[in-house]
Amino acid sequence: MSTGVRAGRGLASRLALLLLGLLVLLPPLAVMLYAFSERWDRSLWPEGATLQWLAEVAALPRVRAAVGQTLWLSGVCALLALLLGGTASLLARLAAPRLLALLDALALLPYAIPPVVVAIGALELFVGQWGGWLDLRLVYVAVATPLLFPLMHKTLGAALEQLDVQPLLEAGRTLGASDLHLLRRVLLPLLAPALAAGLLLCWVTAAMEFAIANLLLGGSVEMLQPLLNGLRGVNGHQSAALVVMSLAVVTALGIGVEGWMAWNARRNSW
Amino acid sequence: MDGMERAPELVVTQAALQLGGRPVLRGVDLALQRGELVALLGASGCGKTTLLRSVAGLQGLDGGRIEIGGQDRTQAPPQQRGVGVVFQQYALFPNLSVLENIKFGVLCDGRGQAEATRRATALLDLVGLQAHRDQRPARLSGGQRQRVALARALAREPSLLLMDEPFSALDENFRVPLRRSFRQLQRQIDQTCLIVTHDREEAFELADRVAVMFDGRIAQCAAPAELWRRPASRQVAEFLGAFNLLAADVAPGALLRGGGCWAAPIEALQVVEEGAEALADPATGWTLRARVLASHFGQQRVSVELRSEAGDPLQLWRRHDQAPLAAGQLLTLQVAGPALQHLPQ
Repeated sequence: MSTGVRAGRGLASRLALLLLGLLVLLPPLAVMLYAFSERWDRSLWPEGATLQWLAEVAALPRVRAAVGQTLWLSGVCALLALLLGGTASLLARLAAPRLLALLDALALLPYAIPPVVVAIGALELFVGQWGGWLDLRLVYVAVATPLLFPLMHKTLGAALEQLDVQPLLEAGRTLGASDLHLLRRVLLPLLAPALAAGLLLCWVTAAMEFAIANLLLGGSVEMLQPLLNGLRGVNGHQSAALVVMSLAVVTALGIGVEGWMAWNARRNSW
Repeated sequence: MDGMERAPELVVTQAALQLGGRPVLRGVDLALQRGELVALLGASGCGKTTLLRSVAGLQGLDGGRIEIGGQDRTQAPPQQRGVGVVFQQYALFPNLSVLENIKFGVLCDGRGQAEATRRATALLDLVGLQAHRDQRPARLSGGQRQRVALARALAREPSLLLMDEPFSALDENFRVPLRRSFRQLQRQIDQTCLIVTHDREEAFELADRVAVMFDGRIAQCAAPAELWRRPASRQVAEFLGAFNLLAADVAPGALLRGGGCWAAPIEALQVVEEGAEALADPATGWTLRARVLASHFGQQRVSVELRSEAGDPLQLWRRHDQAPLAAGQLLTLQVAGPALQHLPQ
């Protein structure tokens, strides 16, 4: 291949990457600009920089209530996914490898069934039958938690593969340790960063979930995503400010977990 | 060693195992006396690591019996076998310090922090790693990790120490001094030890006895000197790679046999210089002619590849200060009678 052709291909790939980057970054950048501008309806460019919308949205009782509900409910979903999904995934890999294929298949299910279908099914099954006395938040947790399982299963699976736990387990057993002791003393500390990453991923995914929160809880419990959608029709700047705040919190948490994982990996790797 | 007077620490009787339909162990018998070091030597896939894992309780058996310290441990889980294991890649716990790694097993036995620390400190002194006690394994060199793994395995004072290729992950510069210091330590504490290795030199240097394994069976288990002198079969002789094998059906005079081969240690093959007298006793020895194929310069000697007139591949060891032999050169060689051993087909 000639030098000219190679250089041409290199340029084309860089351009494609740049275009892809723009496509991905443009919407959040636009939302950010909208959140920090006084108005953006008279010309192509936003006008006046302000923190007014951020301050307003932070003070709105409706927003505070929705953020509180969302953090609480998504936190419960994420914790359950960590406890149930994490335990199932860990046990299958360490003690019952035959179950792994089943769990892998289960982890694909949430992608095969759209959340809207899940929400409508839950409405028909629970709200239609026992809506009078069943707490809808419980139904939400029961429906949303399984959707988070793939995130925990895959995150944990990758961490376990990287750790190569079998020799550690065998070494521990020959030293007289029970599997439970090994789990507590060796495996869980080594897996802690991966568990934290999985928990964060589940929490963010649950907090950003729209279809089930809107269809199942709409009208009774207001969650962040339906509120964002609703707020858009009232004051787009406030809605954008809320998105920016959410993004800032998630980014800060993500950087924190990533930093911890990198530090831990450096400390423990050969 | 007064091995015959002491009770065997490990007795494996007719150990059999199939994995994926393939027999991996085929009726293995092995006994280790207290304080003895036995090396399981064989090529990859011969079953030596599986046998070690079975003794450790990490691999169940289809048949046979394993006795450790005079008690049947065939069905016992690894926690209750009282063995220490040094794994090939050491399997140190990366989240624990060197001291914590060594204390781990003692604490699992419920002996308490004070006892665990006392024992770990003594072992750190023994393996010369006191200065590294608070470091994580990631900060140590390969040799230091190996010593931590050894100290960790010894911390519970096991009746039997099992080691799976313990020196193979180390550079040759470290391997030889480390295995010699290990041997010294093993003798010092009179530790019974079963080592798996594919390295012949390592096996012969370390072990009181070497068990040569092929295809799930122990073909011969003997002291190194005995193995060098008297391999039990052609397969063992070929694997050890230290013998010239000469077809017995073309042998001269009294050495002529209907089949099999004569094995002679490589160093027993000598060049008969021109004008020199051949053999002191031609009736028992073997004089033959062979052509030089190539010479290979090694660290300690020159290894000369030859082919005899009967077509047998031969090897001749020469000192570096001896005159080089040119490819194609025809040599007269001799093997003294006492060095020859007949191996049936």
